[in-house]
Amino acid sequence: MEYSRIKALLEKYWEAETSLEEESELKTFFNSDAVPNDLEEYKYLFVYFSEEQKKVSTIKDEELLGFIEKQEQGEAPTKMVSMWYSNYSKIAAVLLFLVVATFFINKELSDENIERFNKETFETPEEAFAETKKALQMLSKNLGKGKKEAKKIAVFNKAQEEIKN
Amino acid sequence: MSLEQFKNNVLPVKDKLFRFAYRLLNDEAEAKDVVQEVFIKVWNKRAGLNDLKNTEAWCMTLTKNLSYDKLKSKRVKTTDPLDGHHFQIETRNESPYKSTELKDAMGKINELMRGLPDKQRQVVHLRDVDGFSYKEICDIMKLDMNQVKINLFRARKSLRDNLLKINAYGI
Repeated sequence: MEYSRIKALLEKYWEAETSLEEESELKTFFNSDAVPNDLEEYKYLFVYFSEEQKKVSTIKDEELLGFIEKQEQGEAPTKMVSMWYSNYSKIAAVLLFLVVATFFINKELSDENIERFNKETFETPEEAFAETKKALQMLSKNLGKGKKEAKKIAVFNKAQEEIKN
Repeated sequence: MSLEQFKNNVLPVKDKLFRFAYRLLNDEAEAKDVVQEVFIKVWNKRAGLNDLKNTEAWCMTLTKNLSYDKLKSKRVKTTDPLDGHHFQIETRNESPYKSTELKDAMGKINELMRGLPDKQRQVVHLRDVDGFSYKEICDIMKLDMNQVKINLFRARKSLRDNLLKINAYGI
């Protein structure tokens, strides 16, 4: 194809005066490897148009005919399958989460667990009292020990004050 | 119109309809839904189809209107151009450099197309991607010849200016 002809066609193209045949001529030219450097910047525009035209939908004929058949049989049109599907899957995910969560919470709060805390460990009240007393005494003994040590800190405080004065 | 005629005359248009809907909606699933709705509508109206001079143009108009309805009913979130557009360009034994360059250029032009006003974008798509005649574009867009030409002229001009800008400054 002559270079000058392409240039002239391109000018006509920008003025929106080309015919469909001339436009397809341009497309063929720019999709070839023979594009001179000074027309390089427009190359990809025409490549883009050609590539876009190759794009096909992912819808199958049978799928569409299936819809029409269903319509024929008087069933409610099941359009927007994909949207419905995604909506239902969201609901299903939430339900699944709730079921799993309830299962674990139930297990945690099961009678067995609660009984473990409520079980009676002593036969008589006296025994229980003695045991509690023992425990509290141990606690107070340890607290007393801690207090004795803490008193030593007071020495530091005193020393600090003396230094300050 | 019989099922046979429907299969032969209407079904082959589906890719054009899909491309047009996709151009308007920028969302593959939505575009698919629109095409399905168009086919159901066409089938339901098949009795009157024989009078229609141009079934294809009529289908395109339907696609345009349904897509607009969808756009109006909720602002369809525009997907990021990076993951929204996969240009499957068959690599004809090209070097990775060349195929990356091509992908890059396609992405840029796609951006430019998306930057055009609605009408201009549709007219360019109909004319330059799918090769409709001016008359058909008038029917589809419900515009007169002058408006179609003016829109096409402006769209091409802005594409050209932007391409030159990109080439000169690399933006």
